[in-house]
Amino acid sequence: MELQNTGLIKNIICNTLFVFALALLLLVSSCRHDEEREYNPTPYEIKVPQFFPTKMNIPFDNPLTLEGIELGRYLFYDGRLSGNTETEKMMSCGTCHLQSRSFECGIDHPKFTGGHPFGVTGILTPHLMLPMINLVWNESGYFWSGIISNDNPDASQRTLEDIVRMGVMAPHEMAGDTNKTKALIQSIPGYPELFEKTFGSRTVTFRNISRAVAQFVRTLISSDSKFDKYMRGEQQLSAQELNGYVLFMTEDGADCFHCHGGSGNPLFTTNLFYNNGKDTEFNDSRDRFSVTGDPQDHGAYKATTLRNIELTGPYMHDGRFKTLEEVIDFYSEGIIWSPYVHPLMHHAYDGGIQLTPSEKADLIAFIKTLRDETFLTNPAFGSPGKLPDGADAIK
Amino acid sequence: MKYLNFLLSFAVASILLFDSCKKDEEKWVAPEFTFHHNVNGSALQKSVMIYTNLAGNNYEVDELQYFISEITLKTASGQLIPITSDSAIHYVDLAIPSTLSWKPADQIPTTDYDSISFVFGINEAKNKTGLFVNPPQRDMFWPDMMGGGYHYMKMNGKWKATGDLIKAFNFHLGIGMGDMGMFYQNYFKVTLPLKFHTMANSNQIEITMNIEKWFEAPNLWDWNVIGGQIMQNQDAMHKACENGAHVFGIAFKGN
Repeated sequence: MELQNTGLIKNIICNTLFVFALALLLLVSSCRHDEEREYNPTPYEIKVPQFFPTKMNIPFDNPLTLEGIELGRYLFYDGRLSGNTETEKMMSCGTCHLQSRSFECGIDHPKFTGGHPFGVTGILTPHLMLPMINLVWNESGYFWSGIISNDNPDASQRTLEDIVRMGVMAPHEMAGDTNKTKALIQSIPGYPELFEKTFGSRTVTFRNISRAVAQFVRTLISSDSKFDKYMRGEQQLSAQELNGYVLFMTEDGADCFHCHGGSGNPLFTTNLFYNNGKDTEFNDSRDRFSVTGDPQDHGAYKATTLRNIELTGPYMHDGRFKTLEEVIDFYSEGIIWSPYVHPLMHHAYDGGIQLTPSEKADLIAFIKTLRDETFLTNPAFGSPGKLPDGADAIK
Repeated sequence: MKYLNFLLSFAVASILLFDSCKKDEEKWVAPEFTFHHNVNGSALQKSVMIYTNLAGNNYEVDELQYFISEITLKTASGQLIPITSDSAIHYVDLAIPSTLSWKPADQIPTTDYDSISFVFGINEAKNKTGLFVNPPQRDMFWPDMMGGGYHYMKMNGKWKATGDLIKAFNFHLGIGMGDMGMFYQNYFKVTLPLKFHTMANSNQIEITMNIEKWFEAPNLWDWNVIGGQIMQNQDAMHKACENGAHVFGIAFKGN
């Protein structure tokens, strides 16, 4: 009788536990359903242009989707990304990164005199801008020093996604607060739905804001300049442009290709870092040396892409040259020797590559073949005009 | 009883099969190639002007990047064992530690070996622009108008020129350009004796470049005479490649 009772009790306990577990499972499942509704964002595959790298810098936890790119484009051009709604304090990526200037602000910017941008509080950025072109193929770190890279010991400063957060918080940019931005974006009609379609939740997180903007930036691809068309056999270069091309590509000529690419590297940058002989004293706390600690990196900065370079003045990390002509004059006669000049600047000991005026003109003519009108006018890269709630986007 | 016999036969067959598989496994081992750089026996110190070549030039090396390809091992019985993975091309870059060793997917037979050979650079059939679209190999590209393909080597540094001027050298090797649009393939094959028997655990083959040998013989290299840049100087590249025959050493380390 006692054994029978014990069995009965066991059965009751087991059944109760089973029912309880089942209820718990249903409850968890229901909660998950509420927070992370099923979503199926549409994968977006970058079509790699001919001769371009096949290896792309896309984090495994932020694959490109059509929904993510659309959301990122809205945020890129929404001044409320700064967390502000007052007109004078509103700022977003698109405030400074203008499509018509290859996503720099350009030397003729009406607000940023001389092409040197400043943040909402008026503080100038430490360096001039770099163009946002073909960053999906940049594996060597972002910024002039390359500090934002997978090698950065600070795990919060490694990716394009991290740069979005840094841009919102930096005193010389949006001088904002990610919580404020997150709350503001959450409150704007239309955004929660877009976040849900992209990331499966209507709850706006700053991580997802960063992921969306980074997705959009990775789609900014330039591959349709006159030179690209020449490489594809679609268009011929003029005699002057061809002369410039030969100068660009030869060691005894202007020898640009070792650092800036060419037919074998259509990005027109190695994305690597060089001291190109501008100075003899080096005290910039944001040069390549500040990242590597290698004395050879004193005064070294990232070689910029030359795509659309005619639109992205002023030039060099500090904007010391206003025009392309000034830049070519510098490489021709203005290089200053120091022990830190990169050995690829082999003409440094005699001040530069010593081009004649006609050679300079030829070289500039070739460099201008890297202007990509398709990129500069592609509506997919430009301002959406209206934001999800009908407000005006940054133009 | 029949059932027991069957089980016994099955067990014996399994053991034999397992043993045979094991023996098969032991017949093949994975090689590893490691790349080392020295100046007359002392490990290369980057960016320090402490070296003097036979011509009396003080020099330093800041960057070194090159391709080794078509590595082939020759057994004592004369069989040639080519390393074919990664298109049989390996890129070495002093600034990228991971390139200083290479574990190709190839397996080599367990036996006695007599020698090893490789191509310095990339042979004519493979050395075409577009072979590499991704960095870092991509950045070795050699202009199409100068023959195309890729630099076999970039060694960048500085030397103390006449009058104590510090000048930059770019010891770059690739396809040479002659008169009348002629192109010259400057890659060369290196064969080095190396007697070893493959080991069970590791089979490391050390390939060592003695930088100084690029500048010694048969052609004395004086930057003050030749100049720092040689991409458009086929005569200089040819001389450099002749010297290159004496640059490499090899050793086997296994256990």
